[in-house]
Amino acid sequence: MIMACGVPAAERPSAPEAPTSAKPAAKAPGEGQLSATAWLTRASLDLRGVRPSASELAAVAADPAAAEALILGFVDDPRFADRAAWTWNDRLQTALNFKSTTLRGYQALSEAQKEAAGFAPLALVAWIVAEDQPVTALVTNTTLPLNDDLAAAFGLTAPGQGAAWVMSAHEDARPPAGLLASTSLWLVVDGDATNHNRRRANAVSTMFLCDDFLSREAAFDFDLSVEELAAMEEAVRTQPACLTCHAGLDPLAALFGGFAERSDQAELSRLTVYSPWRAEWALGWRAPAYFGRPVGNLSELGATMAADPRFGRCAARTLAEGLIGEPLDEALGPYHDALLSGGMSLRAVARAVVTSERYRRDDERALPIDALSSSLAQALGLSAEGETFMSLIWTLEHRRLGGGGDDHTAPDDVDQPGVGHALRDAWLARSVAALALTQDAEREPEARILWIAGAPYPTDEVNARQVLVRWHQRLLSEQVSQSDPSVDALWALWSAAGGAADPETAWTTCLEALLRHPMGRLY
Amino acid sequence: MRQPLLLLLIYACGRDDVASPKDDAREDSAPPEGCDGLTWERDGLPEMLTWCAACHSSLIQPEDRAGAPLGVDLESVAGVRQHLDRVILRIEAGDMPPAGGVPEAKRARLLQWLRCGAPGDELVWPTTTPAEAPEESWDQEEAVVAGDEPDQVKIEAARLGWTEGLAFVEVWSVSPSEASLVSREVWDASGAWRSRISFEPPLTLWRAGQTDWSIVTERLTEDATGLTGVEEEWTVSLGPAIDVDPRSLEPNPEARFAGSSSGELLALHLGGQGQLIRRVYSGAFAVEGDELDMTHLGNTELFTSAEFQLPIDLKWRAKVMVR
Repeated sequence: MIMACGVPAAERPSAPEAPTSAKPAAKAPGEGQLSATAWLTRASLDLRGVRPSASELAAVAADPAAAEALILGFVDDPRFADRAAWTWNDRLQTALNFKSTTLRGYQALSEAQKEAAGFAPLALVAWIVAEDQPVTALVTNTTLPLNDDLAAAFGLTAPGQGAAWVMSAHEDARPPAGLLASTSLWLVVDGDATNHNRRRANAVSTMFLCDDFLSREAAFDFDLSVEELAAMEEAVRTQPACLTCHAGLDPLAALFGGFAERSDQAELSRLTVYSPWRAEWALGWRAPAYFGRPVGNLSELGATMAADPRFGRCAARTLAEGLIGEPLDEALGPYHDALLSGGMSLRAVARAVVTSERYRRDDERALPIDALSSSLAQALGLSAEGETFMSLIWTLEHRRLGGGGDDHTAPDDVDQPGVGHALRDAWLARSVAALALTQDAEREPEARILWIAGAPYPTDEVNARQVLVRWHQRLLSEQVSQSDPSVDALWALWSAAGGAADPETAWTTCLEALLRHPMGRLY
Repeated sequence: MRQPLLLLLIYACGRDDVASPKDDAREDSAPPEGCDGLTWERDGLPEMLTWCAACHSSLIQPEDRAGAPLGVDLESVAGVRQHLDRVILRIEAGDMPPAGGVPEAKRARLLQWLRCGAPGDELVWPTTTPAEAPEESWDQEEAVVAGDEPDQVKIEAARLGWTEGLAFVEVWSVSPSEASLVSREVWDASGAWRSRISFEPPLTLWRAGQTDWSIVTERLTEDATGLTGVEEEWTVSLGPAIDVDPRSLEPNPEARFAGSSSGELLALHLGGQGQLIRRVYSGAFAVEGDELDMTHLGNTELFTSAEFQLPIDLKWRAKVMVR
């Protein structure tokens, strides 16, 4: 495994013979399930965004039965809120949109404002988890998260707490309805009056019911004449091939007329306005209804959606699939049951997921980009708000290297490891290795997390091996001995990269190599 | 040809006195296996909502049912049970929902629930108040029809629209040969009046160049991309909301809009029913720094009648607000 990181050829172990410690240490072979320590690591990364501490790993190594209680405790960790929020980005796909748009209205926004606008819908998810509110708040809550950046971008009254999100009431006449009334969401999913907000209606169905009208096997065998095609608006109300979708879609679309249409030229201030005039106007197009249930406004739509069993099922599916990393389809039942029996709590879903056999299955998953960022920041003692880590999360290039096709269709990285991950990791390792070592060396000796007691950049083998053991634990969640083959390989790399003659380069090279270790991305 | 067949099927199935062959069979047979634990909320309602209730609902107006027979309502479990045999028959036959589309696994699960007798308790939904559509009205003072023959008809009417957070009322003059904007009055989203622009003479946005109604109709029922604006000079008078130096409003031969504006009408896109889809200009209009973004005026239905029957069938969704 180290081979790819620059170990001299003569000392490289062949890939099939890579040290067993390169795998999470205590995997139980043959059972198809993660070991207790690997399970602990996976759950910690998924729920807290950081690797388990040395004491947690040691406790579970000594008593595997202790893992479950620790893991269930992770669900109540405040950091789970942020992780759950990013999980929802796979469904909402808002986070990076403002970074890539070329519309004139967004050009004046700062990068922080674009990030705030993209994250705002996800911040509601974070609040729901942090406060353990029922997930129905997604479409019913009377307030929405606002921070100073978003307020500046949208011309709202700043809550005055910097980047921190504060739940705030709407300042205009829009009916409160959770994300259904979110300016950010309806800027990302913009409207075009020529299509009567059907795009927004489909987004509602896709995001909150997990039912994309465009994925339906609708038979578009339009047996229509040219004249009939010209009268498309009439056709969607009468033609069977159209009605399968439009009978549900169009009455839903009638509720979104209050939000601005897409405009290539308009200032943002005109796009963020909710217009009661337009909303009223749109109601005259079709009688608004939610799949046969008349609703009068967005608030009623939210309340009705919250009662729809498809909503809860979709919410459970979003979180469960985000944590498990694969489509669940028929296997969703236990997690949906947990949501219902848990009072619509997402934490209840998370508990059911991380204690399930499916979650413990011994497979290799690529670390989600936000968890990669936060876990590395924690492991290296760097700020998660540092430029490198923020860049990792918020630049389209890194997203794409992580497997996403583009910011609109694949805003989050993919779960299966790929070559793009390796390229990204090479950049990441180069960016942070020297910085992390330098910063840690400047700390008081007892506060250092990468260096052991004594002087940093040690050159004697005993101390050096102790450092390498610590790095294994911090970066790979591995408990290895000083004589472990992987430690031997790193020690060889240290010598080849400068050794005692240039210890700074040697240690930086070693850390960079370990940061590029594939098992640091798989969990 | 499809619609008569569809209606035939609907009404054939809509007869309550016609029992399907399955009725007798079901009465004499034991419940199928696999019925334990099936519920309306989990196994029936999600699919009925997704595929059926948008039309088959007692809660919506008859005109919104898209041909679903009155009385065949499937938004409640009671309604499904009332029409159980019919629902099973239609789903088994694959002719409901009308264009198919139900994934096989979902269809099988739904049929299983139905064959088990549609078990489960009714779901309690929140109380809602159906929205009232805005009143469509004509201001008779604004709607003037002159002449009896089509080639003599001239309409002066107003319409409500919106653009980029602003509501507006436009007064139009429409004749067989041209459509012209007489004035435009703008409100912001809070309802506060912003400005009024009057065009003297009216701003002609398209001109057919002839007076044959059939050609006008043809133009309106096709994409009219490529229609160009006509060369005219105008003067523009502004309402009191904007204080403009009259000298800035001198006609400008390089622009389609007087004053400091720079826009030029390039194309007018009309939909199949004559609805105005998009008017494209070379740039945004600006009057003394107060930009009037007219690049996308929305989809207000300008003409919905290909026959130009007046005024009853000319269904402008007009709501005139007179200050």
